[in-house]
Amino acid sequence: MASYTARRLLSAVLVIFGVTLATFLLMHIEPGDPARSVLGIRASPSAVAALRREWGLNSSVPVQLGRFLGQLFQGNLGQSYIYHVSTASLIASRVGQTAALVAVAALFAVVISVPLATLAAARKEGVADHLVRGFSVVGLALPAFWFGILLIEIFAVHLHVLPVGGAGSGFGGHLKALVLPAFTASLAIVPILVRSLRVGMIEVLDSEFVAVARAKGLGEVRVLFSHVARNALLPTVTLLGLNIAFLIGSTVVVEQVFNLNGLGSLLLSAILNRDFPVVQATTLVLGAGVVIVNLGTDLLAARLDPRIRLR
Amino acid sequence: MTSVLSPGQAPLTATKQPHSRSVFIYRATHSKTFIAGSVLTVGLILVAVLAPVISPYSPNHQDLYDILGGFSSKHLLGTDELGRDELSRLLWATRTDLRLGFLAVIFPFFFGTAVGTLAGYYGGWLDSGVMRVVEVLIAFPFYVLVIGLIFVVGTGTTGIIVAFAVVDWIIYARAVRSTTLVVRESDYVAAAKSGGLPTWRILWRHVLPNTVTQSVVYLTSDIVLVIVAVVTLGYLGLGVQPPTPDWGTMISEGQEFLTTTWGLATIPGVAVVITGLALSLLGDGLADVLRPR
Amino acid sequence: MPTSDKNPLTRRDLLKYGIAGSAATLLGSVVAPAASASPRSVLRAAGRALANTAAPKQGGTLRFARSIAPTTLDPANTIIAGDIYTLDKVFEPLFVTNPAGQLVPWLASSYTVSPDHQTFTFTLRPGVKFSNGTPLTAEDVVFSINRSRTNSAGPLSFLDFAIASIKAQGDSTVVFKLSQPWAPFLSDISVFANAIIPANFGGQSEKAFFNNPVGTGPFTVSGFTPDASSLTLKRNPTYWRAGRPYLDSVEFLYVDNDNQRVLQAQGGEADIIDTVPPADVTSLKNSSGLSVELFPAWQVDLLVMNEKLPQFADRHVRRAITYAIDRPALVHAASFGTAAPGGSFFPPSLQYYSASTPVLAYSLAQAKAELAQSKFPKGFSTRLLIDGGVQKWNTFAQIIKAQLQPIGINVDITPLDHSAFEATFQKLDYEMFIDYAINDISDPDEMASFEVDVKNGGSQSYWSNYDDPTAIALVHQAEGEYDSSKRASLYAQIQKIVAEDAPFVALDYPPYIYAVSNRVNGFAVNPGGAYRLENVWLS
Repeated sequence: MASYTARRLLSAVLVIFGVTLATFLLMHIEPGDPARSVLGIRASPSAVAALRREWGLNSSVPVQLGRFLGQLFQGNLGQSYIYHVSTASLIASRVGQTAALVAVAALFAVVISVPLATLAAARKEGVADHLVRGFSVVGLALPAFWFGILLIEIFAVHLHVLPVGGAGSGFGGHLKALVLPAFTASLAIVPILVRSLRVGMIEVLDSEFVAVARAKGLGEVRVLFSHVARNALLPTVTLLGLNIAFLIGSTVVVEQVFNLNGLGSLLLSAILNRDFPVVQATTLVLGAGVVIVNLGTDLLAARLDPRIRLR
Repeated sequence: MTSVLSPGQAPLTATKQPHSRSVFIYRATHSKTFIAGSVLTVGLILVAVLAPVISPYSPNHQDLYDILGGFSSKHLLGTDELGRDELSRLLWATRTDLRLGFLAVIFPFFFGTAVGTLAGYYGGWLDSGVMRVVEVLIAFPFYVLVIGLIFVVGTGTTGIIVAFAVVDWIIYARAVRSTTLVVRESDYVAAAKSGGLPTWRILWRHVLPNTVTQSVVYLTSDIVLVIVAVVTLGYLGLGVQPPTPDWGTMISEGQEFLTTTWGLATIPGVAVVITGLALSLLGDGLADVLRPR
Repeated sequence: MPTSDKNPLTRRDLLKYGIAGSAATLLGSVVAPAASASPRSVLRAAGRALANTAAPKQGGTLRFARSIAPTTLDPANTIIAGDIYTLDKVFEPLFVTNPAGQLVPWLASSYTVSPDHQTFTFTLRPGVKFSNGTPLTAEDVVFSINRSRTNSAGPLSFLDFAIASIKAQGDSTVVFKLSQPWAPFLSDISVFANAIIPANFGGQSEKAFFNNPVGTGPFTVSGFTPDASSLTLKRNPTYWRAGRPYLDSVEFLYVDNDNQRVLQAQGGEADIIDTVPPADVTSLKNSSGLSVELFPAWQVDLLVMNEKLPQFADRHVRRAITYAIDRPALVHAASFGTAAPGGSFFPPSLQYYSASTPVLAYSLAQAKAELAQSKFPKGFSTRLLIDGGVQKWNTFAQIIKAQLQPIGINVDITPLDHSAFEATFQKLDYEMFIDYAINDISDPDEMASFEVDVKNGGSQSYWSNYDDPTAIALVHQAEGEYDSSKRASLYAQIQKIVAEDAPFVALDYPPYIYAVSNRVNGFAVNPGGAYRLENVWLS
């Protein structure tokens, strides 16, 4: 187990490095000049050139990359072109929001998917099954932004039970403000989870293991709970890990719709403004988040199921 | 559809030789999901193909003094913010989005399946290398990578197809690789190997038929995901070139008028959902038809 | 998402990325009131003031939801709307522009000018203090404006180019010497970039100073951090306008998602919201407790054509395109009637706008006739570049495409993201593009030279490469002309030449649109987009 963990950690580092490199290259191929963005439309060519020199943008791409990596190893994530503060402080002030959103969304996803999948598996080919599957297909085909606006219209504007957007204040306020966004974000993966869990549970239900339990006379609900649900735990954990990138990615859109100041909206505006240091740092943090969650779920899965051969 | 368990775990059913065609035909005609899915999908394709014929108006014809008109006898689904007939645009958008959905998944499907098969079968350096690349790509939040690529390549259809080509193949590769790993260990393949069959033959006749079904089933839901992603890109202003009708831009343009002319944003969304339903049913149906048991 | 003049993520949100280049323009000519019509907003505000015969009430917090968050409070180093309309509550210039577009003495109470118009002597208003208690002196003025004009990276430092020297004479007199007669001078002096800060930052480092700025303005900021989701401004008790501000504090909330802002206004979570999408005007008007205010702006939306290309170097082609665009219809559909259709390249609210400019009004027949006289009578295909993140430009582009079709010009719409868009057209690597033009100050010289003076205007005639020596000569002449009626006639001629040459098509004049709660009184916006909050009180 230890050597597996060590190997995975090493590979995680490599992956994060790969993400950083790819982001760097991508940003520098794109047309668009951050100096011009900051200085505005009437900027003189000399002012633009001076700013580019200050930011080191006139060196060749390999040199810039080297400089960036050098700074990175010293723990320096650079300074935002637009905000004139260190990217580290920008990220620190926003990471909590995104982490909270992702965590609550993951929680919602599990809380919604497991019961639905169980119900569908138990009533296979029945009305409930079709309804659940239909619902998950609808979820798959619903654009998050559209659904989010709709939720705001209903729950915030008309019913006034939840805030229109923003982060809210105080612990209770923060939670309330997360309800609609987290729910919207969870829809990114609920359909996938429900479909896969359902199939897995059907297989378990059809297995000899459960046939024995039934033969023993255990009630259906008991069977469901003690055997099926427990067996669902492992795949759920794994699936969550596999799909966390998608969930994190969906926060980019959700944060915009609900006006949350998280890493997703920071990243998007940084890309648009070509705020290179912020793009680099944020992708690094988000990518690291994905990798870490993946690693965590894989290790958790390994602990839960000894059959899994860790390679 | 085989369950998605951890890569190392063997599925509960052993892989077998592919079935004869008659088995497929029997299953196809007896699977309600497959029939429903096929009918809906074919229906959608027909709408897409016949859009120029069945649309009451040209989709781009503007009437700037008759904007945001509600449902009427002249315009069954109303008019949008430039006075264009919503129904005609909806029908033409079926063309745009189905086409884009199908086009965008072609490369990922073939490339991903090929790479996954080779990585799973040969293992070793090839496998490690591929998996590293896959992990890097997966670690990117989806939209970030897609947006970044589109900025580089340019917006519009080409940009979208290239962006998905880079990002989407990994799902197929992972799934196919997992199954290939298992199939590789099966008695059947071992027998073929010891029988001296060349590798490509083994892959083509014995490995792929078992592994590709997963790709095919995933293909149908992938098209849905791609269409939804295209819709979201349209929302972000990175969709198809205006004024091409597309469900995504129709929703984003109509979003401003949600409280008044709600049809503009809702109805294209319904169209996306129906398409999703059709392809999902088709996918589930195919899973039923193609399953090894 | 594109935003209405918006951004996308919502399409409109997301892409709000854009840096709205609108600067607070404060300037009106002091010599004579602007020839422009009295803005509806002023009348409306006056009307409400009359209706509210109750005296202004002290106290309360104004909650203002804005679309762009500030990144810095340094007046000399920004061009971003979010920064400008925040720092102008803390720092004030010698003159300000009122909502009618007129220049009003502010920190300077009066001035005299030498006969050759090159020496200006300002007398500072007595009794003005900075928020830390230190009195305003001439040294502060000298320091501030020298800092601004010598800043090579300053986005608006070019406005100060005619200043040769600034000297303090005693504590309350400042003498400016110009290098040439320069009619826009007072206008230039009043731009936000020339706001007055304490000499030598009051002894602090520059960075520390702008995190805890000290100004003469009605409000104070303590502990500024960029990228905050809100900012609270507190009443400055030593503000020189006695009795003001009425408010105890102002809370700026940064909501870049258009929908969100509108919902906050409707939900009562914000008292004022800015940048209201025209599509939401009707529903906001119908919301109880709210009213929608439209303020005229020094802003024009332009369709620009690249005269480096033979088809657009041909005057007949450009005129044909102008004739073919039905601007009233475009405005009706795209702005829901909030904007006025374009004609002259000066907006009507700008000083020396000429209503008699011969506009090439919509006429398909004349468009075809013009094209027939050109070297491209059968039409041609062309690419129209837009900032794809802004829904408004997408709408405009689609309308223009449909309207140019009948004369045989096939338009291919090319949306780019904001950064790429700017980089591309500024390299003149485009065929046609759409963008907005603004005037930061009340004097029209800024717009006139920027868009007509191809060599020295700073933008190659708004990147169109338009080169008309007569027009350029007139622009220079107007810069040195102090007689108001002569100046008016010069600008009338310039507008006529530009209208007839059609280097760009003025599509429309969009107003500033705000939604204001009924409990807010005294809120008004000048044509530069700036609003003085010390006049606002809550009932």
